[in-house]
Amino acid sequence: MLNVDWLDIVSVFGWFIAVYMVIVIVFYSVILMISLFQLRKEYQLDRIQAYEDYMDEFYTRPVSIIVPAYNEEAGIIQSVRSLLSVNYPTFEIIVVNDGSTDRTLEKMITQYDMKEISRVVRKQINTKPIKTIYQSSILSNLFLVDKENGGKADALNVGLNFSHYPYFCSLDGDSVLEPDAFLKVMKPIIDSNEEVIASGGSVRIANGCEIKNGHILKIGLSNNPLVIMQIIEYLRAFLMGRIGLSRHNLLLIISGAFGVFSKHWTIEAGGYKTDTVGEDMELVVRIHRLLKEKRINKKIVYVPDPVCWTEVPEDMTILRRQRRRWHRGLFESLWTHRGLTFNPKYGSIGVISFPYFWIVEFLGPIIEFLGYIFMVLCLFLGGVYIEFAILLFLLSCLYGSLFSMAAVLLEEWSLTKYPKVSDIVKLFLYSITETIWYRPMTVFWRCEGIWQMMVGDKSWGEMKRKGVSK
Amino acid sequence: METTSEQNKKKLFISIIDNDAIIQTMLVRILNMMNIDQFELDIKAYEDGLQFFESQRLDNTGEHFLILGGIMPVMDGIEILQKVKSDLRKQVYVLMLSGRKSPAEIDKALKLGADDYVTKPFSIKELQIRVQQIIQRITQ
Amino acid sequence: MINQEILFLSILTSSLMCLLFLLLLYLIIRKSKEIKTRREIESYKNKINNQIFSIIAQGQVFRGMGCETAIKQRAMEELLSRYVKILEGEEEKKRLSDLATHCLQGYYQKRLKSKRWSYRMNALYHIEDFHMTKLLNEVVLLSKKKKLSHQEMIHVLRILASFQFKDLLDLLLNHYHYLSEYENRGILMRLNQDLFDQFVLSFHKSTPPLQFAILDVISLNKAIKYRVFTENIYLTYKGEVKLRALKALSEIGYVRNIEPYLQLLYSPNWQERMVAAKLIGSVKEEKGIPRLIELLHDQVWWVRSQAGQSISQFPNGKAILQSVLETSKDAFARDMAWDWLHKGV
Repeated sequence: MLNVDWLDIVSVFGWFIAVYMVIVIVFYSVILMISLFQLRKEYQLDRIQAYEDYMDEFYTRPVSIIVPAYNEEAGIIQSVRSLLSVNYPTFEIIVVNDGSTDRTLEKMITQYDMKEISRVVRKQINTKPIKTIYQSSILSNLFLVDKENGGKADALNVGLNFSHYPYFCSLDGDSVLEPDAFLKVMKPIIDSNEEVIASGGSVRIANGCEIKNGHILKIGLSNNPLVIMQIIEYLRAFLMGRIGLSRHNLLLIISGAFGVFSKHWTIEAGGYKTDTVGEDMELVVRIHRLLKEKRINKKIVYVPDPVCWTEVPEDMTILRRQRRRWHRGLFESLWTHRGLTFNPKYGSIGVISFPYFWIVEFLGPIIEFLGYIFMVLCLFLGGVYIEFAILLFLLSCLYGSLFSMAAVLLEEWSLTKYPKVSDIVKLFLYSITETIWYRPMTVFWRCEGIWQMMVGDKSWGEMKRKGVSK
Repeated sequence: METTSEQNKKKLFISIIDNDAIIQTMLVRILNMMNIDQFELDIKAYEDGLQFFESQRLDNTGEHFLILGGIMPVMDGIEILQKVKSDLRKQVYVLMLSGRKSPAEIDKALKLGADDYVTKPFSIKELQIRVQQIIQRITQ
Repeated sequence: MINQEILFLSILTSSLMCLLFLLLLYLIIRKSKEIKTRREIESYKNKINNQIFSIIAQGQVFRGMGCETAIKQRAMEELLSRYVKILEGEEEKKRLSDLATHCLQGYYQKRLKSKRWSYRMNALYHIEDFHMTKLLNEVVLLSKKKKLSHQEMIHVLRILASFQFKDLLDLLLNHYHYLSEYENRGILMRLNQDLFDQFVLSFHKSTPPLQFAILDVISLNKAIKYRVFTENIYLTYKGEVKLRALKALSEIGYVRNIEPYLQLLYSPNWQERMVAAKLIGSVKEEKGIPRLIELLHDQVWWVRSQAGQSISQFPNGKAILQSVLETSKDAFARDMAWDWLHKGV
């Protein structure tokens, strides 16, 4: 008797996983279709031409670039240098030294001949105290704020307090911006006459590219399998998830590497939260929430054109730490604002986006993980259960590899950023293998993140910076 | 038999620093089109400020005239201007040829010691006139 | 029972895989072709660059350089695009335009009729850049097309403005009155004196976005010719139009009588205070200095900043800012004074 019950449960469990996967596959397919149609249209434009007419408009919408820096001595000079030659009429660069223990501060002061200035900073958001403020005597739009260590979010808030301009963007010390990044990202804001209050640009992976003096000289594909898989992941996430979601103002995450926000609304929402690992996503959610609660018809959009290149981990240990951290950040943002879930008051964010993030992005890894265990279990149980295992395996192939392959091809079809034919082939072949090794690995790490949270482990680990540029 | 006039001609080193290859070749040709016979010309184009300084061109005896691009990746035009003007031993004449048009930028360059500022896009004739004006200043 | 699902999924998966592989193959072939084409274009560009420059800069006669093939045309288009951004002299522009018309007229005629939106848009961009007036009729024809996208429409209007199309006023007033201020401005900016005059004359008939655009263009051009007109507008209208007129006056830098404007420095509306400050600075009216110093202590950052800028435009501006820096009790005012003392270097 007991035997039968036990196997019934196993069956039900198996079906549950299968049904879940089918739903997700259908959802992804829909998004893929939407992205397909959207991308094709726009991305053959001689884009540079399209921005020249906006120059006067850009002039009246200056941007503050905030660069939070903690122990970035390896790459900070190059990052700042690449920012200086950004193609945008008016901007200021605010490097916030978050109590670095290395020579970040000294290097900046020497290289850019920075002199101490006295400045009253209005504390619109509460932050750790500022120690000194410097301004470069060579380049009057470059500032350096030295403060007590308080974390990236705190550093961003300090930058925000200090900034003079109505728009700001936050940039990781190790990212390299394309010269026309701001043009592309500010365009939706101008086109909509400021109905759009935040705009995010797509992030690409810099590992493998030839970068000199803070500029991308040549785009190239890394040989490191981990990097290649991450590239595929990014392509997939950006092309599919964000276009499809952005179109209907469903966009939730603007990746920490690059996004322009309205200063006013960010401060209205309270600035960045310092006690979470996913501070960028959390801010975006909070802004969305504020807009809905106050019934203000503003938008957050996304520009699929790659505008920012950033370094990703090449090493398993660091990648693992990153993934655990991201998943925890996701949970923290979702949980803090759990009231939005299925709440029609918050429009499509509440009814579609949040459920999506809970069910697919957050719970997905858990279910996939159980699916893997289940498959192994089935192999032991033998008989009809082997078929079950095959079923789940096929589903996870569709879920994983096939969509990744499609994403790779979609990128080549519309954006064609990688120069060599061999690059596409490499990406494609690697994406076939995703289901077999990479996906299970990342799923496991994300579950680890959840486990750590439940167990109360607060170690976030340090991300060792290599310095991308020569 | 040496012609004394050739012996007495001083050398004028004209250095063009712009990351745009088309501008480099264009400027070289524009300069060659001009009639500058007060000096013996030595025209060279550089991709960026670093290469220019590494080549130690400024060590050559003679007059030096720089045409600097504005927004450039490796070393910004303003940075090159600053560095060149900070060396007080040598008088270097500088013409900025920049895409930056804001009065603040132009002001800054002129305050730093640039002899003239031409914005892109520019007219060839206009540029030639400005170059001639600076060369007149050099001969005096 | 499960076998059916498995069969179904296997077929689905394998057919999708096949599809994707086929797509990959197609993309590989396409990319290889593109790489080859790109190489040919680059080599052709290198080959003709010197000649093109001679034609544009020195008026050398166009001879022996074919542009019959698509590759040569694309090369020409790219090369000319580069030059258009760098050179702006009258003669250069004309020669460039002639060259473009000679080589690319047929190319763009075809492109304008293309089904692909991006081809048409790109063609429009280049027609405008290269000032190919001979294609005016084709452009007008495009504008009459039924399902024209909004972006194309705007671009067509901009081209018509660039080419000084005489019926433009009628078009903007009667057919396209729904355009935004920004769009109108883009169009008006390209007009010459005579055509722009027509718009000025029809100011009262225009929709608000068009009115803002007209005033903005006067601002941008600092067109002193329209000073009287602008002062009238300032006096007759209220609200945003009044503000824009004031802004235009501050750019023009001159008014007949400064007295009525001095009052605005005390306006409860911060934008009015800001633009009034700008005007005082442009006109360099000394009577406004005491109030400007007060405005350095204003609540709104933009007003303080503008006050600082205006003060620095006076001959003794630096001295004034210095004294504020030393004597003021308001930290924000001192900051602003310091800022403007050190603007630049």
